[in-house]
Amino acid sequence: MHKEVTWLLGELKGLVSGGVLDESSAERLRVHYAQAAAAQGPGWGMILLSIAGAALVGLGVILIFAHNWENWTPGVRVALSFAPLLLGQLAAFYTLKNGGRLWQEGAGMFTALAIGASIALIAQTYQFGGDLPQFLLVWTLLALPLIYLLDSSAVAALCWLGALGWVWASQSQGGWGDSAQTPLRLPAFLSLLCLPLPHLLRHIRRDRLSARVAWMLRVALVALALGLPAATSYPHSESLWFVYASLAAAAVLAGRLYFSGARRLWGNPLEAAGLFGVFVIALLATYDEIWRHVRLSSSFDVLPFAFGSAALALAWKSLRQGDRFLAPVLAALTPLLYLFSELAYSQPAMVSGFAHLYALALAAALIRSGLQQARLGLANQGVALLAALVLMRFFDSDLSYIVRGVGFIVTGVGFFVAIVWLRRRVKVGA
Amino acid sequence: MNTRLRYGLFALACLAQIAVPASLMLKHEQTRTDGSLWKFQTAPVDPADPFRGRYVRLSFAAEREAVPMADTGLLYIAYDTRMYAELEAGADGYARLVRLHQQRPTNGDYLDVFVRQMRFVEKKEDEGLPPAAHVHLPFDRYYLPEARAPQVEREYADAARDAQANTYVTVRVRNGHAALIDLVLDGRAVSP
Repeated sequence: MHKEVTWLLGELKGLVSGGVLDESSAERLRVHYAQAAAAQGPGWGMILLSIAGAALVGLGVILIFAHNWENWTPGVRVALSFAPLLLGQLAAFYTLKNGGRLWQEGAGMFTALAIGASIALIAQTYQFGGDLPQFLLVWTLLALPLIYLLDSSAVAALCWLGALGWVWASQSQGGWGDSAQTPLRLPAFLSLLCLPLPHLLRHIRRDRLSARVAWMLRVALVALALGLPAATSYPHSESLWFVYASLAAAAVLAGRLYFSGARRLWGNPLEAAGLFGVFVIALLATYDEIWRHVRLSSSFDVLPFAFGSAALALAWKSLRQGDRFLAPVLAALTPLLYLFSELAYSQPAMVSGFAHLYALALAAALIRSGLQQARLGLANQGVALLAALVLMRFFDSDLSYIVRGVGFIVTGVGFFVAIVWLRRRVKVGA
Repeated sequence: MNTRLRYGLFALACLAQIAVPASLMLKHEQTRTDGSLWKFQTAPVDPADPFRGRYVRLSFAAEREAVPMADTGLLYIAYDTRMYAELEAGADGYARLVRLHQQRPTNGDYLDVFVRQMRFVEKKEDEGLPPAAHVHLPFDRYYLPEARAPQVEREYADAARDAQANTYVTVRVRNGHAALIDLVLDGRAVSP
């Protein structure tokens, strides 16, 4: 936002002298953006600094305590275990009273870290047995209210990472201490991930293109994608393929529908991460070998069903808004993968043929969409998908080195030609 | 959210954040002062893996033997289920886990333990035995100052490898809760 405003204000003089704007309109614009900048509060850089500062101070205090720990009596140790927490709570109370985004994020982060530190220090002083999943779960749940009370997105991110840590730790320990049952891990993990969601939704409604929302989406997506393999037990892990495919397709479609104003792909984490996932899955699906390991399972299929249905609904909405090519191709990914897995044993050649056709259709859809929207990056991804497909087939085949070498050169040259052609088309289109 | 409600919720959140470590501490303090004292003999350990960071990872003889179920109709208990192990002192003075209960026993000392796996019937003579499970004791690490850690690690590995060595931990037990007091290596207590 800041950059665009600076640019616009810089242009005003030229616009007035060129007769496009009169001086009074230019002045009104200056006043309007000065007020908007004041209302916007501190920049994202300042907020990140405040979060990093709080995290560093918190960790530094813990390290100093740890260094001198053996010199203190148990009473002093207990007092010191609570000190960072009380300090954090005081800071949080101060910001609750006085507001200020900068301090809310910093105080929230510090208090959230201090909760974990005080439990860990007490556990060490009293020689408790280690139960990492239980510790991470309790820590995450105790930090959670700070998200809403202080409106702290840094704590929301920390809670998502806490959920991720919990699911991995509980997988390696087989439970979370108290009569844990494996089937409960997936619903428990998803519920934990959902707890900070109202905070995210609130900020999406407020300013969906803000850096705050983009960062929260990034962390939430990472936690979800990395946590799913640990949340599912052995017989279900083969169907992760369908979960990732449906999730990736839904993410791209949601990103394109609701965050389309983002300036670059990086500013639209849903679309960026989803496209990456769809890209990888479409390429992998062209390998026969993959289909020998993919199995359908009944109980875990609720997730691909949910994400797949979301993808279909989003594609329908996109279709009605004029996205006639990429949206249907993305929505078709999950149903097609199910179909391929059904046919893989009886008709491997047909599955391979259709998987190649799908990858080509996806590449064509990406190029077409990129050209339509004048987004060179999207079109380039389509070309990259084509190139990756060609190169993979060359690595696969038993062709001689000379033929492969020529194939690589032709693909590389084709890539350059495509980029030049796309740039021209995008410029003409723009 | 109105301001008073917000302050009230904040106070509740702060209380909960303090209450968790404080309740852990109080429960432990109570066990240390009022609990009865037991000795658990350590078991030989993998010498490459007794030490993790700043604590000794403890392994116990009592965990090596499967503990019979008090209710002989219980043929299967899931991994990590909490059960209550009745304690008895053996002739050598070390604690033994004698029976596993699903409910807290009403008299005598017991420990909260977590089921690892049911006993496998490997030999023919085991076939008629009542169902039993291997369990995990709730105290599995002993924290030490950083500077002393490597030395204690070596001593613990040496002593724990030697089946004759007098190596054990003393534990206070109260209502199933255990508070680890000392690690004793070959007759000498290691103070943290």
